[in-house]
Formats: sequence, C-alpha cells, structure tokens
Amino acid sequence: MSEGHEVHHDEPSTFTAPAPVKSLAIGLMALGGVGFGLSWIGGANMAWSGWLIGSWIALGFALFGIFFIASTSLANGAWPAVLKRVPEAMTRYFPVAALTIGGVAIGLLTSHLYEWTHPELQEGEHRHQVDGKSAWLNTPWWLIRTVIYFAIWIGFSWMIVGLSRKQDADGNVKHTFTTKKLSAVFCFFFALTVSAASIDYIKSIEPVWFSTMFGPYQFAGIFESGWAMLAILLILLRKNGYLKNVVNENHFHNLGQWLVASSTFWAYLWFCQFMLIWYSNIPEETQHYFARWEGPWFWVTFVVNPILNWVIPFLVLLPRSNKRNIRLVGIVSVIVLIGRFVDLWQFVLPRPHAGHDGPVAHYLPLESFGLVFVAAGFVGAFIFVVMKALEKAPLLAKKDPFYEESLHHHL
Amino acid sequence: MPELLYCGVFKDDEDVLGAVKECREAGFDIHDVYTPYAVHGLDRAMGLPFSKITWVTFGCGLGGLTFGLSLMTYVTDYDWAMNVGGKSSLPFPAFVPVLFELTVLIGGLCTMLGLFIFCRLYPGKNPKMKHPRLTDDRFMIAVKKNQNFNIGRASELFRKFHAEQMLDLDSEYDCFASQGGTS
Repeated sequence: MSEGHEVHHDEPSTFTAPAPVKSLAIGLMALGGVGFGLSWIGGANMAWSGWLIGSWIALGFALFGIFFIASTSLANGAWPAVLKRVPEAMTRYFPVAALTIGGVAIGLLTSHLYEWTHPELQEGEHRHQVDGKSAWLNTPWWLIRTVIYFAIWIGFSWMIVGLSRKQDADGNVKHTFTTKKLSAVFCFFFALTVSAASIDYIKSIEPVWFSTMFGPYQFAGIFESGWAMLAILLILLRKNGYLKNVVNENHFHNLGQWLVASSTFWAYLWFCQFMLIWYSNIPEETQHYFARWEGPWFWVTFVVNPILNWVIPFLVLLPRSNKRNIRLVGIVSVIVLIGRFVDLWQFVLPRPHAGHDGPVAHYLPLESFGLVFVAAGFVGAFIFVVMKALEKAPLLAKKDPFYEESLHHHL
Repeated sequence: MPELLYCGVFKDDEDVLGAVKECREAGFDIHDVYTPYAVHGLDRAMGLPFSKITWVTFGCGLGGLTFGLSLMTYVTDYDWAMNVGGKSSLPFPAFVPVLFELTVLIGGLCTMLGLFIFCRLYPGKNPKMKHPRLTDDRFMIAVKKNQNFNIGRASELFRKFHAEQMLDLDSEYDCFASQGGTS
C-alpha cells in the first residue's frame, strides 16, 4: 500500500467487558428503572410511553447493526472489516428487544397507550375513522406481527453473524459471498418490516393520522442514531484499550461522513413529511401538527428537534478535520442520541385525542421530562448486551478478506 | 523567467511515491509531479496543503441560500404580497425546497469553476507537456535546480527508484513545441 501506516499487532487477544463500561451500562439501567418507576406519577400512559420510546430507540440500534453488515456487504465495503465485530454484537440485542416490545404489549393490553385498542372510548367521526382501520390495528394481529418481525430479524442476524464466525474458524472466502447473497434477501425484508414496525409501534399511537413518509422517516432516525451509537461504542472500547491501534481517525472520518449524510437524510424526510402536510392542509393529516403547533411543544418539535438531529451534526462535522477528531465525533454522537429521544418524545407524548389519563396537546407536564431517564436505561441495557456479546468472539476478524485493506484504510 | 528543473521519468506509481518522499527528505524543492492518473497519497507525500476548494463550496452555497431567500422575499412579499391558498405571503416552509436547490446548484457550479481557476484551466491555455507519454503510462518528478539541489544525490536517488530517463528541462519547456509539433 502507498501509505506507510505503522500497524501494531499488540492488540489484546481476548476481550472482557471493561469494568468502567459495565458500570456505565448498569448505572444507566438503574437510572432507567428509577425513571420508569417515577413516570407512573404521570399515569400509566406516561410510563408506557417512556417504555415504548426507550424500546424503540434500542431496537433501532440492533436494526442498524444488521443493516450495517448487510449494506456494507452488498457494497463490497472494505473499511469496516476491523470494526465489524461491533455491529455484529449490536444485533445480539434482538432477543432483549423482543422482551422489551413484550413490555410494550403489556402497556397495549393494560393502558390507553394505543387508543385503537379502546375504540369504544372515542367519539363521533373520530371513532368511525379508528374503527375503519381495525382490520390492521387489532390486538391479536399486532401481537402476531411482532412475532413475525422478530423472527425475521433474529433469523437473518443469526445466519449472517454465524457465517462470520465460520469464517473465523476456516478463513474461507466463500462465506463473504454467501453473506452478500443473504444480505440482498435481507434488505428486501428489512425495508418491509421496518416500515411496518414503525407504523405499528409508533405511528399507530395516532391511528387516524397518516403519512406515507413515516416508514422512511423512522428508518432515517434509526440510521442516524445507529451511526452515533456505533461511534460511541467504538470510543468506549478505545478508551479501555481495545481496537486502539486498528480503528483510527480514518475510520472515524467515515463515521463522521455518515453522520453528516444520515442527519441530512433525516432532516430531508422530517421536513418533507411536514411540508407536504402543511401545504395540502387536509384535516386528517394536519391534526398531528396542530397538536404541536402552539405552546411548549412547538419549540420541541420545530426548533429543538431539527437543531439536535440536523443543525449540530451537519455544521460541526462538515469540516474534514472535525470528522477526524475522535472526541468531537463522540460529542456529536451523544447529541444525536439526545435528538433521537426528542424526536420520538415529541411524537409519542402530545395527543390530539387522548381521552383519559394521557398528556394532552399544548401541555408539557414536568414529569414528561423524566422519560429521558427511561430511554437512557434502555441505552444502558443495550450497551451491556453488546459488551457481553463482544466477549463471545475474537474482537478482530483477522480472516475477513477485507481485513488488511481495512487496516490500511486511508481517507 | 523560466526555472531550471531536473526531471526523472518513472514507470511505476509506487516508485514515484517513494522517490517523492526521499526528495523531500533530501531537502530538494519539488516543482511538480506529473502523472497520467490520480495517485493515491501523492498529495500528502508532496506535502501539499489541504485544498481550499471546500471553502469555495461552503461560501458559494451560503451565497446561493442568501440569493434565494432575498429573491423570494422580495418577489412574494415585499414587491407584491401574494396570496397562495390562503397562506402567509412569507411562507417559509414553501421556500425551503427552493433554498435547498439554490444552495446546491450555486455551491456545485462554483466548486467546478473554482476547481478550474485553482488548476489554472481556462480557454486558450497552452499546456506545457514535459514528456509525450505523461498522459499515457509514464510519471515525472520535476525538482527545482536551486541552492538546495545536488545533482549527484538527485541522480542517485532517481536511479534507486528505477528512473528510466533523467532530463535537464526548464519550467517553460514544451516537448511538442520543441519537436515542431502541435501544442
């Protein structure tokens, strides 16, 4: 290779979850537990809203992990070969995510988190519209769909990560080609399941409102926060002496580029969804934005949300030198994760039609800020699962055909 | 005033990278390196500063944004307040797609123009080819013959990296003009 990078092979050969990272994860989980307990002060809807936001954020990280492997495999991406164990470990969160979505199911059965579960509480035309969607939005079919989604996600991630483990053992390049074929099939199912799941878990909170942008919009949020989480995990590993000599500022340059690109993709979809609804001005569509147009939610939805999710990552990471500043990429990643929470928070909480103990539009109760701790708890659980999963395989995929190229990656 | 140059012609890009690095270590001043294609890592080996073209893109993008914003504000509100579908005459959400397009369009076109200016490419420019095969399969390193130059050291260095030819040229030299061919 042209670049005379000095590659050190004094990486630790075995990985044990570093104690500081484990403490951080457990601390976040404890915070989440306390936050979830306290959020019951705001009522069952408030508590389950927090649980839903946290579950969906952490499930998004796992979805990002498998999508990252599938998309780089399809594009013959070489640069992530040295860090591919981290997205592989991210997919190991799926079983835990299935449990947390099981928690959402408890919320669905026992509270008014999803108003379509209680159409009898709605009134007049609104009730008629909710009833009209009962063929899709009914509890048994929701539960069956959840099982189908997780079967697809867990099945494909098990197969794709399994091939990577086999390559560790025999070094056969044919596993790379098999992964590519599997990835092509997976991406088809990924698009369908992620769109449908984001509608089932998030959008159906407002069953009458509709947006054809919603699936891609949630995917953009998953994609952006996934890059941020990947950067944070790599920084946590580097801080504790792992991957320090192999994952360098060139790889972080790529992560930074992806953060800029995915934040712009998010902003594009976020704005398109709003602008078309604003422009056409149809009552079924505008009700969602009316609930956020006045009062404190306006600032959350139209000011804080785009600043955290787009303005800061875009402007800070635009210069080349900032993308190569690992510390700065880490700081921006944390901001993006807070933005991910705010994006879901402003979607889930204000309800134009909340009939009962839920928070209503134009009103931002103090206890709803506590949901950020619930979400942090899920992030802690995710980090914990990833660290445990990383212990199961060598941290460096030395038999990956792209490994050498990735070591010498240079931008 | 043409500058005197000492030039080595090479067959392989790896040799060129190595030779450029050693030329700089030896303290020679490199006039330019001619290659038929972009050689990865050559800019860093030559010690070239990072391109300023990004600032052209950023500045012109902001210029396009400002232009779009002032044009639409003037046209739809200031000059003649327009009522479209009962919306405000300053409908910011409706401006955003236009602002985005103008930022990208003006930023992109200025990047291209800036690149031409930075590379001194303009109509009527007379290119000075130092060797007829530089656009085909040969590479050339041109070192300035100034007080830092040492002919013995330079020829030894070029030979070490399998230089095919070593030539004494000047910065105004054009291989086609000297043969009486087209320029």
